[in-house]
Amino acid sequence: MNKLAIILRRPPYGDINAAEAVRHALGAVGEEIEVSLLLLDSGILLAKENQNDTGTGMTNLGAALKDCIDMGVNVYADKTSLREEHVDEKDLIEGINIINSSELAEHIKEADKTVIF
Amino acid sequence: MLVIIKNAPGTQEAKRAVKLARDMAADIVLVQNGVYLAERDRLEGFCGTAYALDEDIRLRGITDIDKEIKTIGYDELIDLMAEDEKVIGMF
Repeated sequence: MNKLAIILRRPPYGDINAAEAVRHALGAVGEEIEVSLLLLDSGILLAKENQNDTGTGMTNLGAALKDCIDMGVNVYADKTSLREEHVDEKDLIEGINIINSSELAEHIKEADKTVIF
Repeated sequence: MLVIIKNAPGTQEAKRAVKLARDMAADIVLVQNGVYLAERDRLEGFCGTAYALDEDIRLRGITDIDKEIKTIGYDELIDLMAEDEKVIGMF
């Protein structure tokens, strides 16, 4: 397998899905697999800047997403979902690519495997 | 009366809870992913008092908070739940 698409539809911190999506992305990119992390619906909330985990005992998933980008994971946020979740592009972590639905479909089509969280 | 909401705005649970609170003229408390409802204009037309848990707001990087929202800590949340005669949750 050369190309993996990971789709995240759930918001961070509420359950395990966002943390697992990030963990799988980091694992795959470490195995030289080309990873596209596609953030849809509430999944785009993972890419919000200014996540502050002080005193919460939680893993900062915003920082983990930055690690993904640094390690070569291609992270995409769906434009429609941004609008529906009231998130402005300027409020996103650096390095997030904004895509529309046809580009999204293209990424999924190109991937050898797709995993949904 | 107090309705506690923990699910994200786009979910059926959150929509149901806000409607129920409106119909019952109840107040709401936003925790976990429910705090995304604290963002500006998300609760338009809600007349009761809306509280939101500060720690969950900070964790999620929410900065654009509606001025009508009262941010509270855990201790205040416990007081609210203890004082209110009926608490319904968590949606």
